[in-house]
Amino acid sequence: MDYTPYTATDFATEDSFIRWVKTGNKELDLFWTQWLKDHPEKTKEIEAAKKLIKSIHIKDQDWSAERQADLKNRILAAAQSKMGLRRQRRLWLQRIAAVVTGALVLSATAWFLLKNDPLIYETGYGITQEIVLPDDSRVVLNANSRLHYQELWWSNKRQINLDGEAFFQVVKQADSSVFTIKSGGIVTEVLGTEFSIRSRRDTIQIVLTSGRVQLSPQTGDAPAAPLVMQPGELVEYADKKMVRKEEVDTALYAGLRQHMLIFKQTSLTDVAQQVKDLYGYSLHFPQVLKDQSFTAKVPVTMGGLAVLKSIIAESFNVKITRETNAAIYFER
Amino acid sequence: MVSEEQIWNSFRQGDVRSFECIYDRYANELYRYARNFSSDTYLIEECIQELFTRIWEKRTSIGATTSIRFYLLRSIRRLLFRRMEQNRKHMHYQTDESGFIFEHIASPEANYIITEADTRLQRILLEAVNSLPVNQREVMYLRYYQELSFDEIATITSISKKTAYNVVFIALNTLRKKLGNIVWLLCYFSKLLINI
Repeated sequence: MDYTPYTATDFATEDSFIRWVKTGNKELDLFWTQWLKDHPEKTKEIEAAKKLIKSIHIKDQDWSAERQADLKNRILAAAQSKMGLRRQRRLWLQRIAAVVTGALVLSATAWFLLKNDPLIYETGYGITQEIVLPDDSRVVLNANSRLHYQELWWSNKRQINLDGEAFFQVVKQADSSVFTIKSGGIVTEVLGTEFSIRSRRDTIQIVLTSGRVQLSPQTGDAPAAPLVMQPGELVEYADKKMVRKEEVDTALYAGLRQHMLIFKQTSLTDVAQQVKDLYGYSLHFPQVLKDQSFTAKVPVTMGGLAVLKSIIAESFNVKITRETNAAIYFER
Repeated sequence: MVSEEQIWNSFRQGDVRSFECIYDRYANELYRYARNFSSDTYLIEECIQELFTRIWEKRTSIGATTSIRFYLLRSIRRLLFRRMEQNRKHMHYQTDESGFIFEHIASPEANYIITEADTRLQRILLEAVNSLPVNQREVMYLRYYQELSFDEIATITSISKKTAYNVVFIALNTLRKKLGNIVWLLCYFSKLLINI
């Protein structure tokens, strides 16, 4: 390239010249120094061109030294915390193994969570438990009952399973999502309401205090038309078939709300059954009392059972003649 | 001074001091480069952090490089663009696009300027450079401030090598034409200087 006719402007816009001035590249330096020696008459042009180039500067944006050092510390801290993992990261084979193991563990965990590990609440005899669900709905679980739900899926689906008895105060959600209870082969769907469920053996009894719930039997076939309950109603299913539907005094069925067991004009046979269910004791009465009925309100605690025993003894003029850890015998 | 290649290689073997050294050498340049695309200094710092954290994590799988500068400039540009794109999508983030990008200014090193005529020359050249389209200014920047090859510039800016070369050629030509009318001035001052 013949640079002899070049003016300062030409030099200032010549690629190799700019790079020489800007970067001090060694090869270019050799070349231009030599060229200048050979063409001393161009010194002024070259100096002017150099000045031009050097006077132009990219606008620097200030980055405070503090923030620069700060960021460095953060990066180093992050890097050092990952040092320990170094060895494991070495071999790709190990990495693949890790991935495969991870996937297995993950799916096993998922399976476990989904299949086997719901959140379970279980009460023994004579003990009730109050449960506040993730949506702030409140459940009082009666004695000898079991409630479980998938915590993992709760946010998607408010669904719980119940064996036994419970009183529900379901909080209505802003998005009107349904709260579902599966119990005794019956699916109870609610928005927000208060009701009790009593599911023992093949019988399930639902008593609605307020709001609305919808009931449908859990069947493999095409589902039957759901039943919509009205407040104040009691509905009972036996073997998934509706056997009773009537208006009742719901207060008598809502005792569990205060952890109480309420009997009102309840037959002794029925009392015995409930005592068996809730306290684990079978009651044995003289044959003559078979058709008697009974009224009482006691807490669902073992203390409550003691109270209940003395009320029965007084009301029917009987005495406890024998008591084991599973049975109580009343006799005249 | 240790060569770039040596530093890079010992960094790849997990040497923290080399890693620090890379940060010390390039962080500031990366910041300045990135500032030409965004005025969000926190976003830029985040990108720098992400970049360095990432290369540390991936150091064993990162290949050898002959130019750390190229590697880092390319990465920071990519990261920053991706983050800016995300911001735009998700938050309708208002980046300050009105800011001058790759704006050229008069050098703070005033000793280059000795006469009023120099100042005038400088102003004309500045105007000429800054009137180039932004993409051309970036190419010029990468070429003359970062000393990257046309191959590297092409990779960074996602244009072909030929385009990168053309951009520099056209930009220089434009400059030459714009400066053409001041040639007489230069000659005049050259004479003046000789006379002194």
